[in-house]
Amino acid sequence: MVKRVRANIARGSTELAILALLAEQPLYGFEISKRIEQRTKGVLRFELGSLYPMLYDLEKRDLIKGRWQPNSTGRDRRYYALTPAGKKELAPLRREWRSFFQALDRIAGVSHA
Amino acid sequence: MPDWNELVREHLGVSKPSSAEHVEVIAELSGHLEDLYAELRRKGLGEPEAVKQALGDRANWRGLAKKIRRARSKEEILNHRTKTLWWPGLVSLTASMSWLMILQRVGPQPRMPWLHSGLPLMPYLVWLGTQPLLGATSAYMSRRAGGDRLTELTSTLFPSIVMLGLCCLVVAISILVEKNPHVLPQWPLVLFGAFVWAIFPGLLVLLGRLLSLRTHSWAKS
Repeated sequence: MVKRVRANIARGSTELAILALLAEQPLYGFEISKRIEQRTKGVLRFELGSLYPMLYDLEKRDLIKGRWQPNSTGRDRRYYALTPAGKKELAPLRREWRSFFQALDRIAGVSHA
Repeated sequence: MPDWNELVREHLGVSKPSSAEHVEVIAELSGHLEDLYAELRRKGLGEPEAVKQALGDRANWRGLAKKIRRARSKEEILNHRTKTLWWPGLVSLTASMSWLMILQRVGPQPRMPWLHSGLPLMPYLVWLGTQPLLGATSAYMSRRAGGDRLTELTSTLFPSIVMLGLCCLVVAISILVEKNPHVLPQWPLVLFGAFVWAIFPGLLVLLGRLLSLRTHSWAKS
């Protein structure tokens, strides 16, 4: 049970992180993993094994859409962008996570830990 | 610079990508590893160490292949099955039944068939004669959509499977629901009916499939 909750939290947070980044600008897989690592100062790290299955799943659910185009070095990369459904999904997802952390904070005081 | 495409295929256990989607996944993962490798090299790692670190643990790759399949599977399986099984099978069944209906409507329908020897059988014989063509068509459609041998065979036999199912259903209803006492004692006739409407046409569609396969292999060679 605890394992499942943890897995769900990990999955949900990955989803939010990817959607929030793509809301700023279209990015390709490697850029997404780098940005997440930099912004969280290495706390969150996505490798090949966790990043791409999540991207494909989000694409299947029509929340993001991939498109091949050259990057700054001229190499073709698959850039992901939010779809209108993804944009719609992001706002309630942010609200849910905010209220989740506030609730957790009230119990465990995690923001002061 | 290593051949990342080749390395990704090897690590995912894909000797030959079977669809454009697989090619795309391999290209995307190769691009990721290429970027990661370049970054590791910039950090001062030697080539063998950078390759090793970029590829990571082999066990993770097995997990990755599974996760990717799962992430894409539902839609892929559905589309693939529709294209390789349901669509060719339903086209063949509809064409077969429509053709039979047309033949029965426009064909000879003498009031006293016994006086006309084999004439009443003509629509049935003409219908049988077209079965190989229908078999070849559905086999071709399934094969073209990337169906494996079993799927192609099932889609080819689809009209016969449906007819056989219908025969069984009619017999079961007659015996169990209508309590018809004449069905069981006349089981040879029931079997003959199944043979005439399902098994024999099934053999003919298989013949069509065989001819289509032969033509395909000749065209290839």
